[in-house]
Amino acid sequence: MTTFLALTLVGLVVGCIYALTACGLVVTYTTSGVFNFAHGAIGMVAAFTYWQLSVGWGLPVWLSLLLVLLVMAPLMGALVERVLVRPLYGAPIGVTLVVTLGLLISLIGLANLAWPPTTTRVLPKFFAGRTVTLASLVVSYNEILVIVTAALVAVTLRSFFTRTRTGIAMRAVVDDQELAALAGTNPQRVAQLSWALGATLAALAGVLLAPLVTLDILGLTLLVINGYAAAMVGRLRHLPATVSGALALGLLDSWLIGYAPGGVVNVLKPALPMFLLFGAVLFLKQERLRAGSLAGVRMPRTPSFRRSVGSAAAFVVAAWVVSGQLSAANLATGGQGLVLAFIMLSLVLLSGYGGQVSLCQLTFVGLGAFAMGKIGGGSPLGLLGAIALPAATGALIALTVVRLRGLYLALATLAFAQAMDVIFFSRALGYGGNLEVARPSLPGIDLGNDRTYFVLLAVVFAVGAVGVLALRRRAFGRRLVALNDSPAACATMGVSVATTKLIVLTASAGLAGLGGALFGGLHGSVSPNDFVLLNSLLLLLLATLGGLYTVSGAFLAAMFYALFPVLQNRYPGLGQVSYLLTGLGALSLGRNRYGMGGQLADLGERLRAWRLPAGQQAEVLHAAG
Amino acid sequence: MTIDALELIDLRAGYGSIEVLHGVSLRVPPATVVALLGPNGAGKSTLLKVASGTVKPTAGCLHVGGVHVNGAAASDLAHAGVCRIPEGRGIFPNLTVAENLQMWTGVGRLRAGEVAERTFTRFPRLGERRKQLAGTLSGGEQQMLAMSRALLVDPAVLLLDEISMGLAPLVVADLYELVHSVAAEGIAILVVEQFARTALAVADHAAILIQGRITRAGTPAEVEEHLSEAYLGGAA
Amino acid sequence: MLQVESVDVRFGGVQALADVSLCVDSGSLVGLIGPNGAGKTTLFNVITGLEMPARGRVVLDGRDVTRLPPHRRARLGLGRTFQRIEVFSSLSVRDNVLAAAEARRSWGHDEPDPARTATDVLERVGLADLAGERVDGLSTGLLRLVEVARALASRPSLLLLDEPGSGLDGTESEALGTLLLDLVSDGVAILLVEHDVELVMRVCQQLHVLDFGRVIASGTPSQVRQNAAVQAAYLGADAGVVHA
Repeated sequence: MTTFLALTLVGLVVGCIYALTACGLVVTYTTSGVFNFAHGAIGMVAAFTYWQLSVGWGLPVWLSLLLVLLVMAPLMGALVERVLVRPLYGAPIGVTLVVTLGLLISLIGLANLAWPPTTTRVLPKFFAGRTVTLASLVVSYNEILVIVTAALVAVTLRSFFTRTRTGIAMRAVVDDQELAALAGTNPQRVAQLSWALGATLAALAGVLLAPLVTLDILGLTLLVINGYAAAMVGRLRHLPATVSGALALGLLDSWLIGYAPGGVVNVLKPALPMFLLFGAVLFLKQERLRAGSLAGVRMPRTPSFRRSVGSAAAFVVAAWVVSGQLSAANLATGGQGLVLAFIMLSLVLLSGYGGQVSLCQLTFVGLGAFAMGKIGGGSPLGLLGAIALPAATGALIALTVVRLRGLYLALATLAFAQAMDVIFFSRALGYGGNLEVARPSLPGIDLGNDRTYFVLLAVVFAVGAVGVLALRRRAFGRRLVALNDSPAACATMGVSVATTKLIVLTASAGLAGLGGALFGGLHGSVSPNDFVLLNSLLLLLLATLGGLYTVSGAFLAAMFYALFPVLQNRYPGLGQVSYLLTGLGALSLGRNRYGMGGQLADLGERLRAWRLPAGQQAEVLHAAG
Repeated sequence: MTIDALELIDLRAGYGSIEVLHGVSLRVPPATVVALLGPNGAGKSTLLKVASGTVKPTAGCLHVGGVHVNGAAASDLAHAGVCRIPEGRGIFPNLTVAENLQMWTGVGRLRAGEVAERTFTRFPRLGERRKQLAGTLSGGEQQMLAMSRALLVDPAVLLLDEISMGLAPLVVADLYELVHSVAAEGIAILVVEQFARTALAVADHAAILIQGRITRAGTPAEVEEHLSEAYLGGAA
Repeated sequence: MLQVESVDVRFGGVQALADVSLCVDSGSLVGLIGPNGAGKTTLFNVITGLEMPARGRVVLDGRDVTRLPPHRRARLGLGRTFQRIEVFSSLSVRDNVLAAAEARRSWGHDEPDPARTATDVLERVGLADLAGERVDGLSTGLLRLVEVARALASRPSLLLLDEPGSGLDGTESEALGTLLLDLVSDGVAILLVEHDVELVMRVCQQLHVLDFGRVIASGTPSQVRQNAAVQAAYLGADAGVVHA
């Protein structure tokens, strides 16, 4: 009994902290309409800042808390809203997501620079060592503090939203933004307030959580996934349901540790938020297809089939010529870039054309490499498995979320990637160990030769690129773009919205998996580190920066991504800066949505127009849009 | 000479590349009801949105109380005394009646208690339902709640967008009686209706807007003669 | 062809549709008119499956489709346009139409070449010259024609048109009327919501008038025009008195 009570207490404490962060998330999302993927990162920065003030600089605890919770966090939230989020209102999910992910990556980069992970930092618990005994149960003051704080916050939030004019105004803006403005409330100021409030709750959760766990940048940032899962129980809208979800998660978590056998705990515990999230998603009702949205994207022109084949051939020849000049190390880096470029094609298909966002693309890559490694050394069967396994996984995820808004796919894939990180890859590939992955075999060609393999990768990318572009010009490509523009219109012309989304997600996962097999073959082996969630996010950010609507954008982004580790080796310390740069780059997408590839396509059109006689010039520019 | 509460001079506006209003001029003096009629898609609601700052004019002038206000934000114009009741129901459906009223305090700098008291005296039915979510009120009650905002803040200009939409004729007649008495308090009122002679019955001036242009303006009687052909075709 | 039987829809406290019944025979052109907010677009949403009625049935070709999702109904030969324009704004005019023709081929049998269908349809509605244009630069009137063309490309047997004529000038609306009559003579049934009364009176064989979510009158155009309830709904409560 005492064990049960003790476990329940721990669960309650953790659940309270999840509830705080989840409520912040919900308040910000419902009021401003922009989902903040950097919510956890804000909490992380707050926890570190609190450590810096109280432990690092030895300020009194109360002052440190005051500075973090009432000065830094609200200011940060308000600033983020003003600078990053405001240009995003009404933007499609693909854009808002990338911008807040950019913020997440930037904050991680920043934190790594400010608080290098080489030192261990410990935050003492509040009222360290002081406890009371309640009916044989030892309760620390720290635990009481957490529970009381959470309860106070809940009560305060409730009366804030029903009693104060500002709180009512926040709900009013959710109801009808235009009318709120007519009643003299500035909706942007209200949204800004919601960001300040959200950031404060994130910071509070971070500060309360940090003493209970190790002060770890990534760990604290990703704990927010628990918050997402809880918020999902409240359908990202209802605070009371969100709180119950959070408490349930905390309690389950704690009881699992206490009662389940060790092996099961190791697998289940990290996957708990994912299960909760998927479970909650299954209960969500099919969303109505709303008419009345005019969100078109100015896509760069798709080159003709002949032109794309010509460019692809030229690309392969160039790759062959270049490969002769490269050192073994550079061949590996270049090959890495080519494989990644191929993988990014799967994002061009899914996110660029289809407008869907997957945050677990590298998980699919990892599944592909895993299948290739486990099934017959380089045989066609292995390649088949490398496509089939991730494709089937993708289809499964899609089945649960395709009826819902794009945001849910992003959240589901994020939770999936995180769970796979912890449960699957670390185990299936062997702890820290490597899974050997053979190169595919082609009759008469020795792919063991690095240069030959490099050229093969160039060929694969070129073929993939031509294929993706051809698809875009064909019926399915048109359907994808149409679906992204107006699901309601698509449905009323006989297109099944869910099936189309399912197909594109499956295809994209399969493509990524094939990339995984080739990726494994490049290095001969893969390790769990290759597929961590953070890298998936980085991949998506870079792909978006490169320009999701163009194949050339994917190539540029991939090369940049491949150069990361190289630069990092040569100039240690640059690694965090590159995180920061990528993040900052992504932030700029709020203003220019087409990335570098889009700019290039634009430039190309301009040059073509310039070479043509004046009469044709106008026409081309017009067609280019 | 009295200064017009609202004046539009050769005003153009639209959404993106699509121009909806192609040079509209209209004056609404204080204590006057002006009815703006016209078929669907003529640009009537857009005109009200421009007048209340929700849509920015692309050319021409917008004057409120004689002051040039092109480009002012909706919340600023609200503080300057422009009050628009949007098409549909100008209420927050997921807020209670009392909370809706509390939202209205933002414009007139009134205390919540004062607002509730004044409203419930005028509309006792709303008082009975103060704790009810506004979305669950009947259509007429919702429109009363919407109108209560206008009545609280003593606006200079009141813009009413299709307040009769989806309401039974008796309720509409009541609402227009209210409009008439509000105008008598010195407020300039611009009423937009697609149909409804009820609007003309209380109007001092009227105009017909078709395809973004005012095709006829004058006394209600003059305008009325041309109504039927504008809507139901020649031989009504 | 289409039967709507006692459909009820409520939004919060507002009854959007109350006990609405109407039918459209195959090959007929039926008009649906009524003041703003009367529930015309809601009825279209119910028929096409974007909105679930609280009560009542939608029967298409003798089959109860009330529980079918929108795309399944479309495959039974139901096409529509939207009042608030829903074109694919990233695609060219031609690709908008082509996407629909291709969708039709993906679920139909023995379909002709989508490219040819697209060309024919664009020709028919008079958009052939604009085929290569991006749609986001077009005027509202033209966008409505793009919607009509797109709906036609899936070759529906019943077409619901939600204000196809608003934003068109005199000649364009004239041409639209001729197109509608053409379609009907080809055997397409049309349910038309339109505020351009000239157009409605010219082309429709039958009219239903919707007001406060109820059908208040049905009949031929001239019957409806004389109907006192319709005059009241359109012109205000005392219309009959004023205009007698």
